[in-house]
Amino acid sequence: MSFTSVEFLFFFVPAFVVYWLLPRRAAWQNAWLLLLGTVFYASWHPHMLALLAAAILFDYTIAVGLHRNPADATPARTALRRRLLWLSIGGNLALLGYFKYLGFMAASLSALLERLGLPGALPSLEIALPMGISYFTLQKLSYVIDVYDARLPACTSLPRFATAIAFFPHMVAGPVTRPAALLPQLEVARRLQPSDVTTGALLFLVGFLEKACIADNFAVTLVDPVFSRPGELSASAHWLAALGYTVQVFCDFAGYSLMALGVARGFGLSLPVNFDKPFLSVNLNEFWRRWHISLNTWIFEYIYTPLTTGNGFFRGRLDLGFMLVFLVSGLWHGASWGFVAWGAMHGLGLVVVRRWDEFYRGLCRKDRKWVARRRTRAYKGVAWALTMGFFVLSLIPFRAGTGPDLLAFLGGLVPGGARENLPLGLFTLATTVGVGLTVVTVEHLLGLPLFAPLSGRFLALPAPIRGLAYGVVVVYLGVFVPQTQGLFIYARF
Amino acid sequence: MTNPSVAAGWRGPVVVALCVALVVVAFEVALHRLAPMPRRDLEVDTGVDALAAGNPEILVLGSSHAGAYLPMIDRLGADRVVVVTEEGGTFSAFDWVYRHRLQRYVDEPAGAGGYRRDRLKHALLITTYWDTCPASRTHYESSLPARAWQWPDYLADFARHGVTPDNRNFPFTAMKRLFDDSMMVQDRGLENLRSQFRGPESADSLSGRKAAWAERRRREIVEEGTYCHTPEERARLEGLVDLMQARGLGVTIIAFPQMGDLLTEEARRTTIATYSAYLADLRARKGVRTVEHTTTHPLVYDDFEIDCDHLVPAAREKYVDWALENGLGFLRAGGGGAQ
Repeated sequence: MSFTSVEFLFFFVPAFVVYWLLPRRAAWQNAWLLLLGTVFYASWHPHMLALLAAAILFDYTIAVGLHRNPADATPARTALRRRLLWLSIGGNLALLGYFKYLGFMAASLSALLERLGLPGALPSLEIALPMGISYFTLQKLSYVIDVYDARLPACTSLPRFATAIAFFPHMVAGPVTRPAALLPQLEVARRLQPSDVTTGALLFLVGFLEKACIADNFAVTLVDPVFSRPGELSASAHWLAALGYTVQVFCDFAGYSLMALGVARGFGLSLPVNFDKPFLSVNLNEFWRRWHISLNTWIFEYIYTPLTTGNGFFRGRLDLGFMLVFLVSGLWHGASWGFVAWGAMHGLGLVVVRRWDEFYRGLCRKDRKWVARRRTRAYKGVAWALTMGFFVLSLIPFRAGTGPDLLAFLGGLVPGGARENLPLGLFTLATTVGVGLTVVTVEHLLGLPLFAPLSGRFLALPAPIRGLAYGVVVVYLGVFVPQTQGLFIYARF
Repeated sequence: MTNPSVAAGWRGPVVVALCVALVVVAFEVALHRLAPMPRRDLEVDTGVDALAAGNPEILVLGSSHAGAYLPMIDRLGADRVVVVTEEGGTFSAFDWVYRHRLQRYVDEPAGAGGYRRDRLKHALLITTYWDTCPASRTHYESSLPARAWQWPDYLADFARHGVTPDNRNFPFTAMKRLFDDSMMVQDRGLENLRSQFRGPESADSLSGRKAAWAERRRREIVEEGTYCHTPEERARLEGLVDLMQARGLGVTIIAFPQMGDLLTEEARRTTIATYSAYLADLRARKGVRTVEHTTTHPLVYDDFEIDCDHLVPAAREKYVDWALENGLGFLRAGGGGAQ
């Protein structure tokens, strides 16, 4: 069940009520959360529950092993610790590799053999992808690495560790919440606070608006009609679809993340913020610090930094490091060459940004005027347009299903082709596209210093006025949420 | 005693929630004034509740077509007739409804032996050839959760399969029932309000749509004959008949009227003839009473709704009056139980 489904209403209300009626003890509350996580996960894949349980038990046992063999002990114990760490990394990657990449690798190898005219085509493998595996694998890996590096004490309570991994708000589509952030919260009993309820409800409301209304409406009106028959509509329709897909992906994922944060707050727990107005970014570096923050900080902290600062081949090779982590990020998003291409584009983009930065710093050293130029609106405007343009274009391989579709879509962006436009009525434009763009724009404007105080002022308004404003949003949702909800895009990863 | 600072902390959220509710209720009131509530489908629960509360003589069970028999309640008496409709159902669905929702009342024992509903003698199954179509085409698995399931049925299915496109219909319908008077829930997308602003559809447009629909159905009826009549659906009907007969009920299978204009010569020769032959075979093998109204009925083009399948309210009365003289006369006297 997804947060926007009717099932979730029947799931959440009793879950919330029972949770706060339980004795105020961490063990009771955690046990209830674990049961809820089990039911929530079973709603997607009941037959994969055993796999999830085994995966949790595996890393719990390894961390306890690390705990019992401290780093300052004998060399034999140090070697054992290293072996345990690699067992966890190998086990998790093997699991992820089997479920997520084996079919893709077999299909790619078969295609290669066929292209080379060699015999030995492999059978096509249809392996069901367990929901959330990409997320809980990263969570467990970060936990074991943190315990190994003595940044985090091992959790000796299996139920608490299982609750942290199987906490339902973040289990299926993130944010990638490290146990280091959640375990301390689960150690203490939670008390129902008015601020948790109001913040949680507000986050959920905004997330629901973004996901259920904006993302799904953009998909139906602007995106799907063009991507389903690329090259057959006008160039303006293709550009609208590309821009619409950017808004759709943002609202889909940022909306889901907000709902996850809101639901977690309802249980008195905090999850990390996953999006921070990414469309204000003026370069790719900044963009990736604002978009899917939990994944990118994970990748940079657990892959990029150890690689480029360690003693291995990648030491100091920052460009190669960028390429590698973004290829990993692309593959993490999905086992297809489209995602690999998307990752490669962003890796390359970051290399270009880094080189440009070095070049520009050289200019600044020669002449201080260049420092001032970088602060001008014109410079920032061009940088923003380039960053956004690059991101919009990079999403096309992300969305296009196949190579031919991608080429057809790119061809469709060039004016002079087909003339048929999207059949958009004024009412649809105003109530879905117009409202969607307004919400996303306002959300981002509130991140600018000029407008930032407005959100504080709104929250300081008398409660009845805020209530009336929220009521209007609820009515809008009641009228315009499409009847059939799509799956969250990021739940597929 | 409540801590004053805690109470003050909750005052804001409560006021906000009340104001949200106020806006929603005000909007609902406005909607109710501007547009009528959409027509509600008949539910299995309505029939089940009537059976549970009474001791009828006649149990009518079928898909939405069974709704045409509602006037029978007026003609024969509310204490004698119960109508159970399973919208979108086929024989599998009728069988499920009987076993899971009705049988507990039909077979409910009385204190001193026998059945509590000892007057129950007749089971009328309202059918068409369509009820033999495979689940892959009729999607009755979606209809059952929406129309007939209860929470235990849903939870059992959820435990086995998680959330599926079929069982999602249960919570969706449960929510509709929970917010029974909400226009936003009952009329998603506010279609009624939009139609209200657009004004009533012109007679020409309506007749054009009906004609187009009829044209499509003419083709489909012939096509459906090629993949319906499945052994699985027939087996479910026959299992249901056995169950009812074992209870001592006289089973009557009625072939529901089809709009005459829909049935091409080819359809009559194939789809309709095959189903008719099957009913004749069933009559011989199982001793059921069969009533063939598919092509023999007094209904004309205007008696059918725009879907060319269901009867307009006035035509239901006309049809029931006619049926009680043509094939169902035995119900008037209250006689003729098991065959």
